Amino acid sequence: MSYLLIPILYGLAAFCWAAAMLPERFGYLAARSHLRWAGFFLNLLGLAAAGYYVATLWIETGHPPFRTLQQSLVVFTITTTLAWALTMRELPVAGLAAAAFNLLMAGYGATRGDSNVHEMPPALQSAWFIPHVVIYFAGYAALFFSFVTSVLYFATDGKNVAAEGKVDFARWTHMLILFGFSMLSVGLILGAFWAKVAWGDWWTWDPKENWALISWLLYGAWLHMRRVEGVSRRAMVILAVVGFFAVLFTYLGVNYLPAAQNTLHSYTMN
Amino acid sequence: MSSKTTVRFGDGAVVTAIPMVVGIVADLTGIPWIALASFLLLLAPRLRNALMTMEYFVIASVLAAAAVAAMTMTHNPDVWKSMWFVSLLGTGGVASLLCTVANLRKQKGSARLAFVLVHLSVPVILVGGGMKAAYKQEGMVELHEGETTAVAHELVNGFATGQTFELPFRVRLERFRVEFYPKRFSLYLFDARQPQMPIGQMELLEGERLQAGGVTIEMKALETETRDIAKSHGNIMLTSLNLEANGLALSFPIAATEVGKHIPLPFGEGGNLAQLAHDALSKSGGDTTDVTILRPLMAYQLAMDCPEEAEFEPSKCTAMFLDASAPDRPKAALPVDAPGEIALDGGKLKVKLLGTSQAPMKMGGDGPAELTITTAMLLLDGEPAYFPLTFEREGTITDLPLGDSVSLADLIRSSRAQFGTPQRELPALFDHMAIMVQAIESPRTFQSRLTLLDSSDQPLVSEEIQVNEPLRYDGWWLYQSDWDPRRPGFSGIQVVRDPGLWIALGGLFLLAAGALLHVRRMFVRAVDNGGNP
Repeated sequence: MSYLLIPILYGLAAFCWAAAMLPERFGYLAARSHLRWAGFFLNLLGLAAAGYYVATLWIETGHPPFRTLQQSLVVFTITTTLAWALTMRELPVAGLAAAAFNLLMAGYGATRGDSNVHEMPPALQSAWFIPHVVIYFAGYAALFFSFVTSVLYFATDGKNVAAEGKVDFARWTHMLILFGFSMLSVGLILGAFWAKVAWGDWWTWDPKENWALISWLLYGAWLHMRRVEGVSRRAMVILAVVGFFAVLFTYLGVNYLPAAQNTLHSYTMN
Repeated sequence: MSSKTTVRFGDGAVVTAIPMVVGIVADLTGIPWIALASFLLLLAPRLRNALMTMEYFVIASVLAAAAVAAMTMTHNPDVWKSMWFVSLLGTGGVASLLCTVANLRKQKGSARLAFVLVHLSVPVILVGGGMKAAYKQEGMVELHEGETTAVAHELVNGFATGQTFELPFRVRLERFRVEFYPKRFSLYLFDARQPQMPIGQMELLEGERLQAGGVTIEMKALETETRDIAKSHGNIMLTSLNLEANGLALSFPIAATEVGKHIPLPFGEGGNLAQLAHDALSKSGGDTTDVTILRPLMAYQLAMDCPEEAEFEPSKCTAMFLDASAPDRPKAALPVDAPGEIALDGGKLKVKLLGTSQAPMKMGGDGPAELTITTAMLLLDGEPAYFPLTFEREGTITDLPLGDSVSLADLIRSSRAQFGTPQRELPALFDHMAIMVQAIESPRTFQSRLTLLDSSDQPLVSEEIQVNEPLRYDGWWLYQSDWDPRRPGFSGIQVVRDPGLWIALGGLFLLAAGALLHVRRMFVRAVDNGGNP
């Protein structure tokens, strides 16, 4: 099975979800509920394709396929789709958000290719590897949705929108950030324990560690800011958006920092 | 939130700023203890309460995030020990501790436990980190198999200081072992005018592509040979390589000794096939009858003269070069089975047959008959140029046009046609390309069997270590860290002692436990609310 199937399925899903949200006068496209069902199944198909990709690669190589950027992007689409599955009842927009974001992530992965899938550097041959990666991506998925809900919260002026079935975006944002922040904490700690065992130090101010700390601090700030009296909604939304960009930079941007070229976090090993 | 004293807006910013200013003073004066003056903050009730406000945590966290982002760009490991930064973190730790204590009675049950775990973890981690910064000892023990030493080369921030220190035990390396993944090959593309830096790189795997300077190189096939050299890492040799560059097929052998050296691509230097094709195409738009560089060739024709025997024997053929204007008078002849060089046109043009091959032919059969001159070298105005030259004739044996002739220019055209005529100008890089093939072996595991000995040579502990599986003894952690492919049996053992370790790990554990408890509480509440979080 080709890797490309994953972005294609999510692309189709995103199209269906988006079409289902068009205003009534575009209703001739198809019945909206049919489009939603199509989006729903395409999201599941995307999840199945990504799951199949991970499973076959895992069996073929004998180690968890989380090492290269492309592989980790597939893991990210899986946690994002699972987060959608958990939130879709209350958060109808999650289907479109998950599909569009997964299209972006898996599409980016397609441009990067994959190499040396059969090799696993000794430092990554560790029991810490799987929980470290999975917990981080669970957190990233939640924080992606917190980004979506906080932007919607701002876009809807803080009011509950009838079309969205009276979704309390503020509450959702808080829940998702609390969950995401907790996962960032656990992921950071697993990474620290692992680093002590593999590199001799639980914290070395490595660029990836630093940016993980930056994300953690920003979301920690957000959780406290919620309870500062007189803070504007705009400030809350800005911090949530900045926090998510810090997460994305931690994941994808740090590789481009010159200092990151020699770390095991850089996804560019030969 | 805990404040009974009035907290005015801006107090949070003030208690963030004061310790940083004090820290800056400590940095500037070079007296780190000055930073302790920040503790005077705690004496003023208003400021102490300000430290426990949400406002303070927001300001301090965002500021710390910005500071970490900025300092990451500096690549200077010492910035993390600047007192202004340490003060910022330290104040956060103290504030977190104060909040934990102040809120102990305010909350109940799992909410209180989660709150305490998360907020208490921060000062604990910082204390552990501070102890690490102050007391950590780190070094590298370099050993060959069978050697014993207590001397470690000191490391600070991962760099050797040039100093050594004595370990409280002696380390003996009993055995060192490396296991590799199968060898891979990597191709680097160079511009021969600037051979220091490769302009592109690709893994030599079928279908891989490399694009650089307008040239696309595609990997077609790779032949390797397995050599049975026991105990040698390199048992796979690269023997030949098929590439396609901008649609031109290239096939050439690579001697094992050439791995790691620059190899000019077959069209690497001036006056070669690429140049021929380039010139021919640019000057005549695809039809190459009147091209300067081909003109000397136009005067000659190549013919095959083979003895008429019952069984066709290509090796008995002779390649004859004829003057096109007087085809009955051969200018030069070369036996095909002993290829050599002939000079034409008063030495200006030299043609060298490097070898021949032929497709299997049946006597009297109907299949196509083929005679291929695999490689020829032309020397044009003294410049050598290699290219594969194919002379093909289809037909049955009886129809084989022995004695028939074909112009050399036609041959070149037909061999180009076989490559798929390039329709556009070839990039300038084409004339200056070189490749380098490198063998890559990634280690799968390194293992060292270590024995630690006391001063009277009594073994204390003996263990096999590898990456991710250090040996721990009496506060010291010994890691498999280094090896050298050029020094078999050599192992670099990193030794670390960090007295703050268990405090820091304990703090990290508190944070993880608190975070998980928060998540659990969140889900429990969601279930209690009938699925609505």
